[in-house]
Amino acid sequence: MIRFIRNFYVEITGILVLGAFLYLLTSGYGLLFSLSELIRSGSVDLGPKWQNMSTIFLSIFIEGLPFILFGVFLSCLIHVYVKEETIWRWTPKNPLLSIPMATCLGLLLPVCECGIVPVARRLVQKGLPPYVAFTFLLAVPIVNPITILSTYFAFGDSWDMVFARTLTGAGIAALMGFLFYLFFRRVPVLKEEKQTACTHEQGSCGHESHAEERHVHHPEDRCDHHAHAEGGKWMHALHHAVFEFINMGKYFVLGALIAAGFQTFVGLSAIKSFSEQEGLALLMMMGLAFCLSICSNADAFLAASFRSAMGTVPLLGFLIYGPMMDLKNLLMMLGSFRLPVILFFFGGTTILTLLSVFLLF
Amino acid sequence: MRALLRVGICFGIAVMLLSLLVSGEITLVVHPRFKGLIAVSILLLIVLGLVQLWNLKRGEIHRIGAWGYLVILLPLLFFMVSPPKALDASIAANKGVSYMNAQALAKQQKLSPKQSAASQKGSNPNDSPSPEQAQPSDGTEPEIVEIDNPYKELVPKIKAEPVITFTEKNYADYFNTINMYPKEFEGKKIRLKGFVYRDETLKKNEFVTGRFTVTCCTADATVIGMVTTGSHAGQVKSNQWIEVTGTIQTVMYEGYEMPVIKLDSYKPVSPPKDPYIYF
Repeated sequence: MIRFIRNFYVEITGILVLGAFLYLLTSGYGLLFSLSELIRSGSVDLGPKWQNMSTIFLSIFIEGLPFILFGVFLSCLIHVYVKEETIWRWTPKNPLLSIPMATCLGLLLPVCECGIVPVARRLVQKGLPPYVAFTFLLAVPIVNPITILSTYFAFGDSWDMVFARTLTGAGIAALMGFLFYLFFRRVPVLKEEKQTACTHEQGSCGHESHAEERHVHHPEDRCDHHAHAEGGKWMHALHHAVFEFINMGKYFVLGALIAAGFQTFVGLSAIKSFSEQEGLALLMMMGLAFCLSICSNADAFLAASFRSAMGTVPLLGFLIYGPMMDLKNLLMMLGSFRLPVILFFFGGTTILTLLSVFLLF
Repeated sequence: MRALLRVGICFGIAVMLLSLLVSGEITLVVHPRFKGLIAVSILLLIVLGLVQLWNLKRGEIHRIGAWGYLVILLPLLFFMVSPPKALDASIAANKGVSYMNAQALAKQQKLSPKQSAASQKGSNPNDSPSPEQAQPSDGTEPEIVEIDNPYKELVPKIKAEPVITFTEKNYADYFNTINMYPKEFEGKKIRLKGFVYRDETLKKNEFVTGRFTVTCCTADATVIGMVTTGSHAGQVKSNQWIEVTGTIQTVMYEGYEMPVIKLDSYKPVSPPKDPYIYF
């Protein structure tokens, strides 16, 4: 019996957990309700401000969560199915070709900025040149069918704002890509992951070492279910995905928390008082875009609510800067890339956005 | 131990999402169209949790500091301590309130993209819109683009109603249509629910009957509403939910027509279970 359990504990736990969730979903209403009743009774009345903040915080978290998970799983898929040679073959060697290509990739891969960091990081690990990956990181949240559509609807069905936003965003992303090519071509960009007790000498967790082909699987005791190389690879990639999810998640949560705090305790009205001077207003709106960390798929609607108080220039600053740089995104990058790279990236994007918005509009 | 914590995090978040989904409270934090996505993420979280459970013996792959675990547990903590409730009017000012014709705003900005914000300030809708300030404009009457404007088709339909009644479903459409073609509806009776919003720029006998609109998640909620005026409008308490019955009037404001509700009567109502309008 014990032997049986030991042999099949993978399947048994799987069935148990799935069964538990299915039970909760189908007939567990009562249980869930009593759970939420319990939560209600235990909840403290913190006053409307804290209550609102908690709601906004949870809403940013829950709204972004699916996209982070997609990002993590997409990165997993890339890990298992995309070989380094494929990337080498498909990426043009000439940055003049590869950078514009990266800016348009968003049209095929509609990921918003929450999910983009794990994907970009995985692509760099797979040997995509960092300048292409960073162009991709900047461009995808803006040059993206969902973002384009929401901007179109938010601004009274007019294409002006859409063109201004998309083209400027793509331009900045491409320019940053070229700057990256000039300065960071030979510099390692990825942060080294802190390694653990997980037997590293033996080459497990070896996907960081680009040793995919000779990836020998773990010589551990519980490897009997890793009969097929593909299955084992999946298991390993998914196991790593848990780490990636929690690692990205913690920065995301931190960003959501700060953004929610800002929304409740400072508020948009503080910004409106600065709308007298355009320069100041632009800076404030960019700062706001950075702090609020709203999904790029939805920020146009928020920007539209500012039309009464702001000119076009600060609004464009908000719309262009927000998707490329925001608090939760920056925190997630801090977990993945080296600090000098991020500083360059942050500074460059900020200055380019300021310049381009001022000069072009 | 930490590997077990990871399992707990994955399953914990999954259970939180599931209970929100089952109790229907998910719509208090995100747009209903995200329900499918949430369901998929519950599945993905279960997969992640299971994988971690199967690899329990191998421990945590790559270290995460203790603060990382603390941070990722925050959503669960918040959910326990103060589960999501609907936003109330007290935060409306912080989230942005708009009660002006969107078309008019778009027009203004197209005409004067370089116009400094100082003169924009003058056209701030917060300046109390009253008939005395009306500026008759001759050439700059807003020429609303007639082609493929979906709201144009709604005009006869809405006009046919004896009393224009805003419901959860039609709120956004009706609101936009009336804002775009206020002249068409002049003198019509109107009935709508909303909370009373006031700020210092509105007159004593004016308030905004507003609702939060959500396009993606509650974080992007903004208030849309109609300016309501009347001699006894000053007595209506702020932040409470009321049902307003009134007559639509138009005022000229900055050269644009703007609908205003002349208050006939109102009665306090309890806030709806799902107070948001979803775009």
